[in-house]
Amino acid sequence: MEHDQTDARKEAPENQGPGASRMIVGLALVCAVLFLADFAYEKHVYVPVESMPGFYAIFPLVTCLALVIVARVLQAVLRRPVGYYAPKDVETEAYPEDGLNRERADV
Amino acid sequence: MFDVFPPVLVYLLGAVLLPLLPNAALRAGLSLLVPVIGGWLIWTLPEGNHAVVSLAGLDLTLIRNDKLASVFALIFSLAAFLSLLYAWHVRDRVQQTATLLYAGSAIGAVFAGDLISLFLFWEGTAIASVFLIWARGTEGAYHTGLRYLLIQVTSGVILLAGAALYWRETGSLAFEHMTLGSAATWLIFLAIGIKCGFPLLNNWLADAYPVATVTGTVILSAFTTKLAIYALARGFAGTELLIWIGVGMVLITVVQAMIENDLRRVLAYSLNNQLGFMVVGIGIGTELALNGAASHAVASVLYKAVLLMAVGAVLFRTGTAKASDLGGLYRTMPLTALFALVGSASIAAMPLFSGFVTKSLILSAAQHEHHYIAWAVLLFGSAAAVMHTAIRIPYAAFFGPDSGLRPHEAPAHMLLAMGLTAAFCVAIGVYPKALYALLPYAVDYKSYTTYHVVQQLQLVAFAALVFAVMMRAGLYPKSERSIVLDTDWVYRRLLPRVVGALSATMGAVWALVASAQERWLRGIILRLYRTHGPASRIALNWPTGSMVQWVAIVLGITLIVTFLS
Repeated sequence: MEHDQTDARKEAPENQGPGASRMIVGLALVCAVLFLADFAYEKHVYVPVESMPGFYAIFPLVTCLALVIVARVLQAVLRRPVGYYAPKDVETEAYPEDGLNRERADV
Repeated sequence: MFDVFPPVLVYLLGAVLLPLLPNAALRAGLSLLVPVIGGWLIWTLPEGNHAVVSLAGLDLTLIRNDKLASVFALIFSLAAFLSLLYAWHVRDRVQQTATLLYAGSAIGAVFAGDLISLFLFWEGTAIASVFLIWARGTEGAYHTGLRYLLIQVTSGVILLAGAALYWRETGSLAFEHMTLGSAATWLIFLAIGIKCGFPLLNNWLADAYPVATVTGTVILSAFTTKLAIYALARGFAGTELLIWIGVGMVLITVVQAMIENDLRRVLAYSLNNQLGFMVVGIGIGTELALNGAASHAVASVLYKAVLLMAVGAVLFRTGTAKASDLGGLYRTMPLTALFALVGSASIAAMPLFSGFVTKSLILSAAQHEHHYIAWAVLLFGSAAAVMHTAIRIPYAAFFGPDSGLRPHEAPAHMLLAMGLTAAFCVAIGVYPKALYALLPYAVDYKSYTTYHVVQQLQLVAFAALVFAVMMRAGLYPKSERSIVLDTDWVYRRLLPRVVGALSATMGAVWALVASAQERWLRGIILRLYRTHGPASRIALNWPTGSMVQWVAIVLGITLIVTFLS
């Protein structure tokens, strides 16, 4: 139905535009404020490592970065064409139209 | 017959009545009424054992009501109501009836006081739910449904075997706390583990759930796995092995959730991931941890439902739920996008949303009991959930690069269902006491401390930062039109190939043996023919009249025998 979608994607790569940059800068500022907030109050820690300043900032930073790398490697290993299991799989089938109600918005 | 009216009977009556109604709106109305009546019955159900029936010399306890059972039964009722509201447009009697039977079986199983009634309802959920997958009506859905049914029924059969052994061992069929050790308890543990999505037993979940219909996946996400969580909490609370199993569940599903392209499958992996949190809580087994597992089950039913509803609405309007084909839908589906964001904030455990007040019980319990490795893994799982679900789902479907698709906003009943579900997510986060009051044990826990709020905001913000920077740099795994292998590859590809290769080899060997044998026999026959055949050397000496001579001899012998007898 909408065959122009890939073209639209090429024209407007929004995750590369100035809006995305502003968002990342904003997010980084929020992160910095939250990191500094760690020095502003008394912590009640159970695990010794928690008392490290910004532990809850550094931990997700490190583990998520590691996860992205691992995921990229595994994606290369585990990725297969959509028809891999066909026809015993729905990947290559279109969703039956009688279960849908496609409606275009008026824009 | 019964001293109380079992809620499951309301669902059974509803399921019998529903197909008879000619009008689609009437059917949808009835299907909404059933969970309301059922929920009210559960709310007013007295504690203790009720509705004991004798069947073939066994006493079956249909109702064993305590707070652990009732909290699960209540969330099942709510989930049934919300998902049936979402499915208001569905005209298909099979799906409507299956949904009632499925929800009813799940509620029946939660209240089952003995292993036999548990088994009956356990299989009930399996058989009723597969129709939600088959309802898609394609060849692929048929095969996926068969795989799903096979695994679900196997779980039931293992449960029955465990129950039989347990009965022989203890002389009791009561479903109470058990200690792993005998074959009986291991079998019951394994049966629950299959439905619970233990590592390597979990591949049916991500295989089958995203294949169901738009509404079917929402319904499926609520019951089977949370029933298994209930059964684990009832039977195996405090089993330390579960901590490691839960850790394994969190780790084994996280990468798949990151790289899968089908957003409903991403949510299935994410669901499996969240189950890991609950299993860790059950393994720790303290009051705080069990409260955490039960409350996180409640929260996760709701936020998973709202996310699947939102993605389902996208599928309903565009015909696809693939990340590679979607993006930028917030322009024309702003409300759906908003509700998805509420679900996202809940699974990310943002303060004022449901995950914040439930997940923290489990994490705190892990700290208090000094399970530091499990705690660290759960913390990692929380951060990862921010990336693979909380940000990725809204990014891929509603924000992110524009796909050019301009679908209409979801229909009103879907918006209402999503809105209500989202409202519950916020309500739990804002006023956790209401949920805490329903939990199995008294809750003495403050979620909203400065430390907890700040640490959770840090966790979410930094995970979001990693997502944004990696996406910007093009390093985040791309959403591509492809599938991602899981362990079901073993029985979908490897085993058929191995069996195929084996049978081909066997066939070839057999053909070789047969042809060798044939050649050998043919050789013997040819040699005999050559020596004894009409053209052979021996045949040269055959007198012409030898045949006549032999006939005369045989006739003579017959004559003598006839005379003598």
